[in-house]
Amino acid sequence: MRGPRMSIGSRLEHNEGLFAFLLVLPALLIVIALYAYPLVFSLVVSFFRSDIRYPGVEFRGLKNYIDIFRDPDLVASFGRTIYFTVASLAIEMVVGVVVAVAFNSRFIGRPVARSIILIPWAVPPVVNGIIWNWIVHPKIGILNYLLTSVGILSRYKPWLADPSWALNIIVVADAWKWTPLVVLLVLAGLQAIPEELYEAARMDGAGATKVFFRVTLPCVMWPILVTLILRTVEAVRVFDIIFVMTRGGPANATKVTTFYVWEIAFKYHQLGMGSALAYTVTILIIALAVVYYRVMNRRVEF
Amino acid sequence: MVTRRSNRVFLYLFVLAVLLVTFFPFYWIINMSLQSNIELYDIPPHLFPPHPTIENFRSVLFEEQGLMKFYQAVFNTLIVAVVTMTVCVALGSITGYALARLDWKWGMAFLFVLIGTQMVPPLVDLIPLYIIFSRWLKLVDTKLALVIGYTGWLLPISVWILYGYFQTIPRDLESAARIDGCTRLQALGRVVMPLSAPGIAATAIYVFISSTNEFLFAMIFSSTARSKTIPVALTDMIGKYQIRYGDMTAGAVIAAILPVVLALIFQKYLVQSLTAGGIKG
Repeated sequence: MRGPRMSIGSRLEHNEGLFAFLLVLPALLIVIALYAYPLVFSLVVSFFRSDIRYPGVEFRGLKNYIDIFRDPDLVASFGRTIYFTVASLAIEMVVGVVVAVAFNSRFIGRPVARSIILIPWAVPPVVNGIIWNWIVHPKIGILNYLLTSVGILSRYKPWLADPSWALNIIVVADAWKWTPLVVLLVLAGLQAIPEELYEAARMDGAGATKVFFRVTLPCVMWPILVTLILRTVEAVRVFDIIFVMTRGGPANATKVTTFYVWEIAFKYHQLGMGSALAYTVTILIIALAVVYYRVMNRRVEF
Repeated sequence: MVTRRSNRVFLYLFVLAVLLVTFFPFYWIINMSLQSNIELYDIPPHLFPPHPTIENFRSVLFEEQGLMKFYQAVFNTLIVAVVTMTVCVALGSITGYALARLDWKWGMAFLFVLIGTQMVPPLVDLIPLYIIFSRWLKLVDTKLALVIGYTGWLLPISVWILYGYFQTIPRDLESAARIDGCTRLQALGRVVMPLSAPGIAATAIYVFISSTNEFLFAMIFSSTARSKTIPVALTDMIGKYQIRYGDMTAGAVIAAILPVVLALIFQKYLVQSLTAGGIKG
């Protein structure tokens, strides 16, 4: 039998709110310390010119932000970011959905197949960059070898040194890594579709195509859109693979905005400007999320 | 569902093509790492290593690679990943439990905030965190800084996964335990936790893999062998040792093999954690 409880113990027993609050407190503190506070801090810093090498700051108000839009390189970087995002997303979503539909059917070895497609997701982005560096290597890369053997290319091509190809190669590398995630998420959505819907459609005499467009696609809209948001947010933040494959070159062809943030803040030590640029990217992401949300609310009908 | 004979053949071919494309780059780097530096220069490139050797692995791990040895990076990465995983699971479970179970009016608001944090690119946090860690706390180049940073980054999704998991556990079990005389904490520890083992596994594997693969934060906050993680050490090699291709590919394989093997072993839990955000939406 237990002895008399201490007053705080019994208070915890009866007050759910207090117990919950205490349990949540550590996480709350961490979120405040590592998200809320830096977020506000970053905003404040973005209004100053702050060079990490020298003490003291200089207030600039919104001038940092205005300078961003005056700088042709930075504006171009936004264009590249958008291109990268649209291109990789197009590949990932289209291929991802098609593969998910294929994997939704039963075939021999499906569990093995589902395991194999996890590999690109697990590979570190840095290693992904290195792998593709080797595949498109100007001298010993297998891509050059294959293309010249088949006759498509007459000479070995330094893919990553060509400004018009570099970003596209990175798009391919990124798509390789992330399409499996799209497959997984969409597949999960597909497998959640109750069998009865298919049966009902078939009893009504619908052929395969009709079943796909009237039953499958609408049910999988939600996972597709969620995946779209997740991938877009990630694609706008791309950094690792660009750093490893081209370092922003050749001739700035792959300098997306996040790369500039790193360069400005940590190579040129301009923390104020770097923060302003980072915030601009954040606003872009939030704007995109809002757009997606609006589109979702209009299209998803159950 | 695909059932006609010709469609079946097409399906198998398609799946085979998908698997080939998926697996080939991974196979290629392993292939390269097992060849000697001389063989790597051969044209045409070898589809299989002609004389497989682990010399590259020995050399990359134990020889000096610009002021540090790669095995130190492996050590750092593992420690940071394990500690981060433990902290995230511990804090994530109690927070997720509180949000899923207990009637607390701010619960939904907090959950909303957690999801909101995922919208913020780590970049925005990076600069203030750098100022905080380097100027105020003097924590640069320590594994502790990485653990703190990664915990902050991965805690929201840990809470989210475990929250979803706790919601699936029937309340009656806890009520039964409490009727039998357990305190809330005891009910939590003895009844709920063991049942949520899969949720904990899902969180653990996701946090572990994310932590070993992270690059940007690690690059900025580490400068010497004391805290450099595998991705950073690997990137260092690119600039400096471009000639020793064998070493670099061996390093890449080491960096990739750990998360890949873990992902394959724990894939059931991994898929759960990845789709947790997806379907429950």
